[in-house]
Amino acid sequence: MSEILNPTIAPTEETIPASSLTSAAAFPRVDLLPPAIKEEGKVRTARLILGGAVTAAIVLTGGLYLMANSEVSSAQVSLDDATSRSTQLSGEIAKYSNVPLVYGQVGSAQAALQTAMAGDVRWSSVLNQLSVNIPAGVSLSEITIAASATAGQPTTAASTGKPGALSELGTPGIATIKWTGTATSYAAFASFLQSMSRVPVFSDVFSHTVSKTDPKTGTVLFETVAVINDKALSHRYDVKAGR
Amino acid sequence: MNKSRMWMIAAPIAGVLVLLVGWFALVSGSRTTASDLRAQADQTLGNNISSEAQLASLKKQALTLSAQKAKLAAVRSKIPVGPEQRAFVTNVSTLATNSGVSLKSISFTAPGAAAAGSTSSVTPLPVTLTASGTYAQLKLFAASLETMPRAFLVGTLGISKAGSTATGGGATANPDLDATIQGTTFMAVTFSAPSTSAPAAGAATTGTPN
Repeated sequence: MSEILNPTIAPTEETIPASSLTSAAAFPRVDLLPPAIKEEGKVRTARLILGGAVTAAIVLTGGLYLMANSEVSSAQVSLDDATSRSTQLSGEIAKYSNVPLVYGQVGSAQAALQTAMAGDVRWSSVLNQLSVNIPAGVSLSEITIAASATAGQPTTAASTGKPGALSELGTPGIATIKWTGTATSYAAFASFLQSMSRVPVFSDVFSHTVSKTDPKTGTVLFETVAVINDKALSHRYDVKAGR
Repeated sequence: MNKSRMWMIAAPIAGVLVLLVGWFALVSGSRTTASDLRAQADQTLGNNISSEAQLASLKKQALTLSAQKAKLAAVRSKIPVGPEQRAFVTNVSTLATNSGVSLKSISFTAPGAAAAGSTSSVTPLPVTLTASGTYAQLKLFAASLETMPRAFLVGTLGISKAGSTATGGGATANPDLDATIQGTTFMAVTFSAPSTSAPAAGAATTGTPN
């Protein structure tokens, strides 16, 4: 209270320049505001600052929320577009649903045919090779060809009774062939053996018995076996890669 | 501490609190939602790229669909669904006539239980053919069997005659050769089970077309 009653008077002892006599600073300044009022003002200012800070935080939060919502909307639009395209693509793919079905059927059918006919041999070609290679003086009375029971796999040969389509020398094959016949002489029979050995699809031509049936004519009876090798396979039903 | 200073300290704290509460209550959830949506969109876009590639491939394959159907038809003529005995007998009979051989018999062995228990997509149908003719005729008949529409795998081929069968130099003068061809034709397993109407397994059905 004494401060109020005795306001501070600015020092006036110093000489004031004549040029400054007209400025406000030249006059003594007296703060007559009571400290309580001043404190109240400070509190009011602080409250305003608080309110401003809270308001700024709310505005900032709101802005961030709007931005986030904008991102949600943008992402939703992207997802909707992608979903719409996905639906469209699914519809178009569905129109072609029979395509993979047909391709699958072709693939499995060709594979089944290949498996079933893996042991296919053009027997007419074998018969042809046989007939053109029979030398003069040889006559066949019986030809028996027994292919492997399992397509393309060596197995029991009915003609020989041996396990698998193996030659008498142990060479595996896809089938066995047995010839029974007569030759006018041992030389003619030897020629027959040689001729059969030259046929590419025959391997290990072997004869068990050659016997003279008529001492007067020299005719011999023979029984010869061989295996037919895999060169005889036609491969007609093989599925080529990429088809 | 005076009041103004307390308010000054409270201001930034309140601001930060409001920010934190707003962030966790409003912003964070929306950002998570946006992130999830973007992830879903990205995944869908990725799937769409695969689908577009698949569609392009399908369109390309569709261009050759008719060729594929023709291939399928060709294979189905080789391995029909069901025994198709009528067609087989007709085919073989025609081939025999065209080859000049006398077709004596066609014997089928019913697949029976083998067909029912088969895990393969085809079932073998054993067939035995007996015919007679010259060596050249039988050779032609064998060639015809190889090229007929129905797949036919020869298992055993026997040609016999009391006299000469094939003589030196390829001459085949004797017309009385007997041929026995044991082979296998095939049928797709999707045909209805033969257990009720077909003969029992191992039973042979013999036809004499000529």
